[in-house]
Amino acid sequence: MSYSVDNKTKIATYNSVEYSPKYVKKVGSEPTFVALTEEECKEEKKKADEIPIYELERLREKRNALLAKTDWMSLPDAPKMSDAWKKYRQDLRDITKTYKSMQDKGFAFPEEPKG
Amino acid sequence: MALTKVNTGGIAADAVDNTILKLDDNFDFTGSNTFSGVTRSSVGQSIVPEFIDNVFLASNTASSVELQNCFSTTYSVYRLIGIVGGRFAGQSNVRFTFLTGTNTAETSGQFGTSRIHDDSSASGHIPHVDTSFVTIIGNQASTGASIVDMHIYMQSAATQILGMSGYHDQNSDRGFAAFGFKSNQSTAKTGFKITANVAGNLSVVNFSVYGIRIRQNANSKMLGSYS
Repeated sequence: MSYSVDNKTKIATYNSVEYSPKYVKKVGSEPTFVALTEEECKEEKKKADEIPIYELERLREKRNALLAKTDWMSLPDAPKMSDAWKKYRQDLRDITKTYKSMQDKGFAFPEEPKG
Repeated sequence: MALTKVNTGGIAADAVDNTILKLDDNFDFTGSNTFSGVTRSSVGQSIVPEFIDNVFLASNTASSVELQNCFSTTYSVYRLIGIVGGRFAGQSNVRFTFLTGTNTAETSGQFGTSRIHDDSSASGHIPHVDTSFVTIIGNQASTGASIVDMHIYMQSAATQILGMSGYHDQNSDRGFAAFGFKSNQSTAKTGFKITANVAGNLSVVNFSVYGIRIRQNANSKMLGSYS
């Protein structure tokens, strides 16, 4: 595990990955850039590792909101759901099989059926 | 400049109603009042926020921002208000962490939740149980910034945070986060740190801290206990 700091740029390097400094202001003083400590670099690395989890959670949130909008169609006293709407809802459920983030190339939620 | 005493007899009546300004009188001001300094109450029990400091971080220049030494025993309540950006490279949540002692980040003690709702009906719930930070913004789009308005209540053996933020997410949906947290850490807070929940540089941050002298006991702390 290697850790070093470029004293000019205040960029820290930990395990060959560069980490930007933090910006620190004390009340009544001019702000300065301060290099991350080794411990802070470890925390940043942990957060970087969590990006895929965060992105997948956001995708599920949006997908669940779209599903919730049409949940009423499956109620027993609602008109029979058309095959197009059934397919739409199934495509929503399956979207995480193809995409793990809304930022993935080509990502789009399925279009609602007309009518 | 040193204050100069003026003999009362030497003060002439002014042009308004032929009165003399007496500084221990009560006044009803009918015109505009312009102050170049800060409005302060010397007796406590004031709801007027007093400006403490502002921190401005240019976009994409640092991974976190800290404002140190902004909390003290002078005030029992703080209002933090301004714009706060998330991760510059993509959508993120934004975290607020207290600094204590020699401005060291707290490592635990926050309990509470952030509720997030937007115009696509998406909603989220970010519970915190004994975390080192609280989430003040949910799903802020890259390169943008949220409006954040929050209060911090310093209590005898705890700290409470209540606030709201308005965000614009990566899918162009608009929403808000409402959050409430209580810390069971009695160590005096000295400042705060703002980071995104995922790694990378922050977008712009322009955040101001005001102190309010609401006093409910001799120690200038809000009454109430976490236990």
